[in-house]
Amino acid sequence: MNIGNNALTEAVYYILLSLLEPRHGYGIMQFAEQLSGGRVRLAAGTLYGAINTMLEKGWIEACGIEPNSRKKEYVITQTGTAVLLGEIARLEELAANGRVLLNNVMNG
Amino acid sequence: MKQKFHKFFWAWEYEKEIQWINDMAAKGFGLCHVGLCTYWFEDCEPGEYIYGLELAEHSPSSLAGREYLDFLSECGTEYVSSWLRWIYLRRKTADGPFNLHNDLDSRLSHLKRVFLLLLPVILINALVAVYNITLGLCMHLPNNIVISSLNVIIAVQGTAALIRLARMIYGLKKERQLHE
Repeated sequence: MNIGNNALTEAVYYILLSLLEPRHGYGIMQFAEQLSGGRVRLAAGTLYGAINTMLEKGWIEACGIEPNSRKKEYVITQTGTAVLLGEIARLEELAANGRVLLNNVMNG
Repeated sequence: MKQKFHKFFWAWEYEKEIQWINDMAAKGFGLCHVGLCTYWFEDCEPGEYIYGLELAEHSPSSLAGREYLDFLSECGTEYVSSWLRWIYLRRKTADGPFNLHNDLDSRLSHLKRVFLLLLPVILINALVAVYNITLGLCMHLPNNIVISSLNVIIAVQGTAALIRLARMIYGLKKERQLHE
């Protein structure tokens, strides 16, 4: 998983978005799938590795146990929110550059 | 009713092993426990479960290993049994395909774990084979050559498996330059 100053992986991006409110692992999987219209299906092993790496980085934190299921819940931190905002700006730049150049080419 | 089957797979034949376990599940035999070359099955609906096999980063008996298994369980993947660091898992077929890792990095890291597990075993067998055969030829000890035949088999087959794994790792790394 590429967690540095560069592009986030799609899994990390969707996990951070999911954790804008507290969720447990399975909740993250469901939310990411729902948000992406069924396209992004996070595999459990991939998700586990990503959660642990993001915990180490301080991008997310454990915030308790869901009362009914006893599942551990996580939430995004301020650092994680800053990373997310940086990624959104990067994605907007990518999309804007792509659109401008393609429009130039297509419109002669 | 539990049924016991004896079957042998080399460590590098884990894909073949899980294929056999899934073939059994399709016939209504659900794996419930694993021992040395021994597999216990219990009745299940044919095709009810799909099984997966992974070389875990931590032993299932360690705290980190148990935390991983608990997490998988929360996500709908049930722990069935383990043999050393190999863990046998299953999920209901109705819940979708069995896929523990769907990004290139975690697939790469699993392949590297298998590679690093096999490498010392195969190297040791190759060294023992060379030593015994050399000793047998120099000292005219035919028994040494016969005894080392198992080492030769492990070294040759294992090397072929390592080459295959290395190719897979190389292929994924190339793909990683283009995709996640």
